[in-house]
Amino acid sequence: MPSTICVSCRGERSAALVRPKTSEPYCKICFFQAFEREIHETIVKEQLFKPGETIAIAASGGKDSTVLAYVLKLLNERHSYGLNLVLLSIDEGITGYRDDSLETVKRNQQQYDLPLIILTYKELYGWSMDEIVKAVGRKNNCTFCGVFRRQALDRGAMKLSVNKIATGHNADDIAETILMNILRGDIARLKRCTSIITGDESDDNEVSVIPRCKPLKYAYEKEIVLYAFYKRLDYFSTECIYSPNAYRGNIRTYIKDLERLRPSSIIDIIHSGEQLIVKPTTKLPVQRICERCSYCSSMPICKACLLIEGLNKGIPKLGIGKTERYRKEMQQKQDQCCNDQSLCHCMKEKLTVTEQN
Amino acid sequence: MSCDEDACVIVRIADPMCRKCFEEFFIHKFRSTLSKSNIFGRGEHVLIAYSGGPSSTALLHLIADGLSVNARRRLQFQAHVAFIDESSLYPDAINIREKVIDLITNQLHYPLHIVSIDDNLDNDNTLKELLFQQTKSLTAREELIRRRKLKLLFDIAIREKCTKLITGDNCTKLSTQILSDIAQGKGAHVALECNLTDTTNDLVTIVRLFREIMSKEIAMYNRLNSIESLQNVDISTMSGIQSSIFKLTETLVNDLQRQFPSTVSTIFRTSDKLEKNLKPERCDLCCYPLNLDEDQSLLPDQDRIKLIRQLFDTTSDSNDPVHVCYACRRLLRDVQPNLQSNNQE
Repeated sequence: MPSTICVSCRGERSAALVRPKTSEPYCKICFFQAFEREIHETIVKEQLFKPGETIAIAASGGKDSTVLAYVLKLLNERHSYGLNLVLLSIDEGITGYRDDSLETVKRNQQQYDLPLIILTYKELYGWSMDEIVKAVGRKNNCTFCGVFRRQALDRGAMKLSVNKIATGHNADDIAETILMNILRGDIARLKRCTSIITGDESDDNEVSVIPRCKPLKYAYEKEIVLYAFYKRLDYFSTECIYSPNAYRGNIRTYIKDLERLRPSSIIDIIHSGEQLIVKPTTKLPVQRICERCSYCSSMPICKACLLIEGLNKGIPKLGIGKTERYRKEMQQKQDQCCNDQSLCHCMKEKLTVTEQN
Repeated sequence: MSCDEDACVIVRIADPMCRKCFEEFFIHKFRSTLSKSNIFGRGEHVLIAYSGGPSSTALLHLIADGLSVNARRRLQFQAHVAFIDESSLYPDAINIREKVIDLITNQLHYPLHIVSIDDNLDNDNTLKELLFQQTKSLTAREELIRRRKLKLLFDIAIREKCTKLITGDNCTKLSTQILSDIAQGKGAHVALECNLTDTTNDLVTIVRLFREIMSKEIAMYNRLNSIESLQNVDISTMSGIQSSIFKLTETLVNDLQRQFPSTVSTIFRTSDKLEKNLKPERCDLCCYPLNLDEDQSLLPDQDRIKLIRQLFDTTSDSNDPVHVCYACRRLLRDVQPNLQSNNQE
């Protein structure tokens, strides 16, 4: 017979929900306490913050970043972390999705009384996601969005002079990323993706990147939803309209099925991921600086610049998958192919580039 | 592709092969894995784990060819074969022992060691009871059987003085196993479990000769050579695709492989780049290195300790503490030991 007594306060209050992480009945108050306490313990144990730091919370208006903003503000006051919190939001230019979620962020700014800055892809890169999808199609557009957003967050953070960026990545996200990196064979990312704070080892890098951390690393997505629901937090809950065909969808379904079979699987995957050690002799990318925009990059030209070049030149697949070969071919062709008077397409491209400059 | 004959099979994209070329390709892959690292010593006693399935049957045939008198670069080890009879667990199992004896003793003439899965237990029903009454999930049952089989194989190998144990695990199965193990918290062992030679056990080294061969290639080879595998039932036969973690993972890998034909080899290559963690202490349940601290890995529960001692640990002193790794600890949570035996719990 299922128990209806909260296991935490043992009957003081009746249980209102079953906690996804532990499958035990909890009352609302104890659930809030447990959830908040676990995040606090993560922050303390992993030493994520130092007093006096300014932290930019990457806010999208979705459940993860809303809960993150709410909980960080709460814990900052309750445990006196001594942090300055700001909200940083990126507008990718997706009609019907992002413009609505930004309204939510603006409301969050009012509700939590935190400063807010919004940056758009259009102003940073000259292209909005809607325009990109029109040029690229529906299959590889998530790559563009992800690459651009990462840089956008860093640029926004530098503009605001913050010490760290906090993102709302939850346990499910990290589990998906671990599996995705194995399936895609990305050993370099596999090494980094379980770190709760990245970019902090600035001693062996010449380029200092703003460190980013994931305070919600051990929080289940289901619990975040429950927390936001019971606390009546204001968040935007629609899926990105361009996401259904993404590769990540396959893994997401798998993890949801796994969670149904065994709820602890998500934490088990993260535990497994943390145990993976990459052979030191494996070839890993070296960090250097992009020749065009001076951002950190593992290649001479960073991915964002490459993608923009592709978009501007009308070859949007540049930088996606095996078209690196095509790029090299293009570069070679431009040098050897035709003389100035020729009307060959390679000359047309050269003309286009000069016109834009 | 290579010889302009009519092609009969495609194993890699855009590479149709005729029968002869395919067989050469297949056998070459096998022999090169074998001779690449000079694994076997002359006259070494080697135990081949036979399950009756397509992979291990193909393995036996290839080894038999390699050991035969007129083989090119003849193999120099002494082969023994082990078969673990699980039929006591399944009520409708066909009598498989006879077929195994027929194949191995009568046709191939190798020393055969058949061991029942409840070997050495007080009561024939202990394992059955454990699996079907005390274990709550199919995942846990599969994993317990897997560990028990490995333990038994090690025992046979040690008893027969075999220093190597060859298994027929193919690339597809290993890739599925990798993901399924990660889902259960066994990430620390992934690097070891897909290695060609696995020295986790000090006395018996596991050798995985089929680790770079896909299940499709084996199926094709078996068909072209009319190699028949034995019909074999296991614990998850006829259960749905979402009934256990392994089955779920198998479905994922097969679906992805269909859409992206390099999935299996990518998973495998990724795990190949992982460093082995060979801490000296071993988990008492799965025999792989412990990945937890001393105090966390200690099993406090007397009932479960008794269980492990009985089924998995026949050698050590009954007063020694029992240590288990993270995944096995999680696994044991799905097992409810005998409730009426003592007054604990």
